[in-house]
Amino acid sequence: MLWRLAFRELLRSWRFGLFFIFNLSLGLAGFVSLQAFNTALEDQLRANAKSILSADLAVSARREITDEEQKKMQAVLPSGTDQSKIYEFFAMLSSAKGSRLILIKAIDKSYPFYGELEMKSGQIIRYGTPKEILSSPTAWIYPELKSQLGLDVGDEIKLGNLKLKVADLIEKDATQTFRAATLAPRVFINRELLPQSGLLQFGSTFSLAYLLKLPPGVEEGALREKLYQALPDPQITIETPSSAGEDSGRQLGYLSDYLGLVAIIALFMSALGAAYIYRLFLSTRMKEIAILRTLGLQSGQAVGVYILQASMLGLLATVPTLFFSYLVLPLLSQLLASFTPFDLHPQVNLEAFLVCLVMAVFGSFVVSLPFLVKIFDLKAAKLFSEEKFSVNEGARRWWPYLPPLVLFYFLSVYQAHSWMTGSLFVASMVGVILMLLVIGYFTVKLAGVLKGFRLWFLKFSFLSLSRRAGASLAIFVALGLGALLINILPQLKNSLQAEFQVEGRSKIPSLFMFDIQDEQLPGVEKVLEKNHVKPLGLSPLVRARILKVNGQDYERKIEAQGFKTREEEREARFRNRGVNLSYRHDLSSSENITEGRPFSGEFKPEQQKYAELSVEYRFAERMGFQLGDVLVFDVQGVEVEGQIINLRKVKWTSFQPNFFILVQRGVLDEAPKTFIAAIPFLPEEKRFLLQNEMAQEFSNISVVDVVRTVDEVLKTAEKMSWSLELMAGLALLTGYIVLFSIVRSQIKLRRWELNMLKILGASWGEVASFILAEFAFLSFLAALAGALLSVLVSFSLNAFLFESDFKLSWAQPLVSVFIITCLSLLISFLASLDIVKESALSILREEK
Amino acid sequence: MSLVLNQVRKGFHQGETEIQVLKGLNASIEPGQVVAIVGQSGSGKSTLLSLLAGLERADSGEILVDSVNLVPLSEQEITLFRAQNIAIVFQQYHLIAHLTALENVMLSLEILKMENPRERAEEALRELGLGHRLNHFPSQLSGGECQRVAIARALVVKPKILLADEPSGNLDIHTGDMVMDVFFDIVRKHKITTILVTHSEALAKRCERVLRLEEGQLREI
Repeated sequence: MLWRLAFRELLRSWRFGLFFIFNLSLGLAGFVSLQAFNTALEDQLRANAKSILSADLAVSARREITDEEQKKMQAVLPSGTDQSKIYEFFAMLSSAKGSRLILIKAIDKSYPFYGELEMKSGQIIRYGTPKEILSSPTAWIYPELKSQLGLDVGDEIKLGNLKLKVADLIEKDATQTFRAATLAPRVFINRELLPQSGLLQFGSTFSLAYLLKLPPGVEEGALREKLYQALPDPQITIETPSSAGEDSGRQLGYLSDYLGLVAIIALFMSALGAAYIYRLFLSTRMKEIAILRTLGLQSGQAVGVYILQASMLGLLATVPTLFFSYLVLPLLSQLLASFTPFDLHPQVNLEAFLVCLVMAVFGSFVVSLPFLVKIFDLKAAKLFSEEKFSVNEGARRWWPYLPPLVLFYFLSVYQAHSWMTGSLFVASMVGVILMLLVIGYFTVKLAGVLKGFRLWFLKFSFLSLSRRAGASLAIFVALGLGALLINILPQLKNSLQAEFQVEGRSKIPSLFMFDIQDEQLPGVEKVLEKNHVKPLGLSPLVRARILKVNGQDYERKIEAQGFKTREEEREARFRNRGVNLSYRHDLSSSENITEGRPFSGEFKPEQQKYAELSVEYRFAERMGFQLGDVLVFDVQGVEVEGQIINLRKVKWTSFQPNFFILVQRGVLDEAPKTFIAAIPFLPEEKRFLLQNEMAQEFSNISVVDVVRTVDEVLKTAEKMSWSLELMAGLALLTGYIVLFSIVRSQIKLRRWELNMLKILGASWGEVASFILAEFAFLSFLAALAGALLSVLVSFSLNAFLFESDFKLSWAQPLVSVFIITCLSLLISFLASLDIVKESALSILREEK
Repeated sequence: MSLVLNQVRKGFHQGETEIQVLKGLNASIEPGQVVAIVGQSGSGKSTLLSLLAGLERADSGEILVDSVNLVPLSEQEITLFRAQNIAIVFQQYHLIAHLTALENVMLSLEILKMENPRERAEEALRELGLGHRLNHFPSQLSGGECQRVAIARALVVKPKILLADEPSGNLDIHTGDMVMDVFFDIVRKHKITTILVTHSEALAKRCERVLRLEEGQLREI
């Protein structure tokens, strides 16, 4: 019986049903598309995991594996394990056509155990293929070097002391994953040539990996655990194909997390619209429910009918959701495809469909819950009087709003993959809504004051605004949120771009030189002097690893089950790595102390127990360090004790050489070290020449072209922002549909009133002006409030999250206020058109 | 203002069949006359009232208010004519919920751009005994008070013709009598031509003429 009632009523109210479904599905489409994209990416990563790692297991470190460690490792490995040893490091490539920072991959005959390299010549390099670079002094290069330097097959390149010919170009590398920016194209060489190259010297930064091909039947996970036990140094990482896949998908994962949050805003807006429509629908059904009650239907049964209906609507909403997803997915894939080497063809698969189904059915229920409980308050006795039935009467309950809030919160954390980001996001949304509510409250109050107009429709539209405070506030918040959303992204982008613009660029270094050996320092200074270049600074870099914190051993964290949130993942990653220490007298212009005191001067062993340490505050947060903590470092076999005396904030976008940990002078001065030099702004030609000269004179010193790097970062940011804007566009579209729903519902609720005005003599134009005046006032102030709040939010995000200067541009928010106001007017005009034109009589014939 | 109905016909389509509600109806009402129209449910009383108010158009015939025929007027012309000459009182009061009693009455004056709306609205409400309820919302008023506000709203613009649809239909006998006493006092005082649709024989007897609507025709009782 309940099914029949629910179904029959739904058929009769098909217009409401369609509108509800349309609203909900538009919000769900972004969510489902992203889910489908992520699933496709994860599938590809999983499918290509062995190719990415090129092995069953990889033992890697940013240092040489000692003989003792070698022995321990070999003891654990099952017999029949095949091994390959490869090195990866940055170096300078020079040629007759110019020089460039590259990433060298030094391989041996076993590489790669899995995956393949597709060469320009058509040759496919895989396990067991004879490799030309191992039999002759040649190298394989990435095609970017052809486009950037004009290098091609047969050209000679110089890598340190090595002179090699280009044997082939690598068209497709299955071992590479995320390709945000091609800062350093890869060059493959023979590992045997490394000693004579002279590229790896003391203090050089490199990564060494033992790639392992296990005999059949060996369980990778269990072996990984055994290796962890045998090699306890946190600097040694042991990766399985699945962990490598996760790792390489991380960068894209971060982008997708933020896309997910924007998708949630769209979902939130569509839920708001759906709730509004549902409230209107239920208010028209209250009298019917009262009649059913007099016929014997229990309140619980009546609620059951509507829960069934909400579930049916949710179920039906999956159909347009899938349709919209098919429209959004190709766009999203196209925008994100350039970041991955895989051909991604995301489809709404079973998993995405199930997520869609659960969200739609459960979402519909949760959205309608606050109104459904009102059925329990319904007084059927009203049927004996002329009183109107409404969903606003009865007890005020807060608990029905809890499930939507909890659902919203968990969805945010689920999408952001971070408790912190998710919670911050929900808190900011709640904060922004509260602020909009407060501004909206005063706007409504203002409307009440502004009633001294000569024209009656202006006077009464302001009166109507203030008297219908609840509805006015809902429209104000929905519009304000929409305005906020469309303004935040462009403003963040403006600030980010302004940070790197010409004026800013003259302040940032143009080149970074690293791995400068102690004995090379005078030579480097001479070259710079000859070129009339004065370095911005020379920073010593001492490699070390943390042994103890406050007397406790600083041990590796192993998460066998994988990481559930980004925070866990990040903490584990940081714990597993060594640290670079530096020392200087004073802080640079890009640093300031947030807590504690400055260094007291040179280290005085007779007066001080510990050396003084300055730690970057975010690094300290991640590592769990606090002011006053005592750290013990292993600096090339010597233990150094230090105490954190201050936490400092670093403006990383200044591109100055900065370090997470600074040590007081006089402690590490004699320690083995290398230097980093920052070269001030130089014109492009001079920069190019200096880079070439450095590559010729000091082959082991790597030179990073900061200007090019910044350009690449900006290009990547631009690409990423397009995908974010696509999602934001979807959220905005949803916002406007919601606005349409709200305006239309409002006008429908007031059909009778509008027609009464007509009966009292108001013309068609006056009735339309009555509505437009109301929405013009409300939408202008809501858009203005949203735009101003977006400036505040962008400023806060810049200051606290990105820590960069805020570049305010008024044009963007003001134009958006104008557009939103005009669009709102258009929507309200369209929504009211048929009702304004309706015959007054038809309304009077209907029941109030 | 006189009112003449000449061969007025009105029908409705119900699926394939056409139902003739008013079948060549004739009547003549003198200026200032208070006329009751009675009839069974479904006899077409509300349809007749809608035609007289210009809210619906007759299929044929003439509705002459003084010498103006409402039937061929455009939507705009009829809206203007109604605003200047005709007022309606509904059984369900139809007050705007978010406006106070005073604002509800002022609204019709302001729509017609009449002078001193506040003073005139206050005066009209006082005349109906609602001087102490000026700033109350409809939800804070009793049924009788709501109907008196609705009557004040209709009369404040000094209409030439007043159409009333069961004005006491929603009120108890005592309250209904009180409201109708005031109603008759005022329409007679201001000599307003009034058409009162009612089921109540007692109320009909208080009018100068009673017409029965039967089989699409008006018959004098």
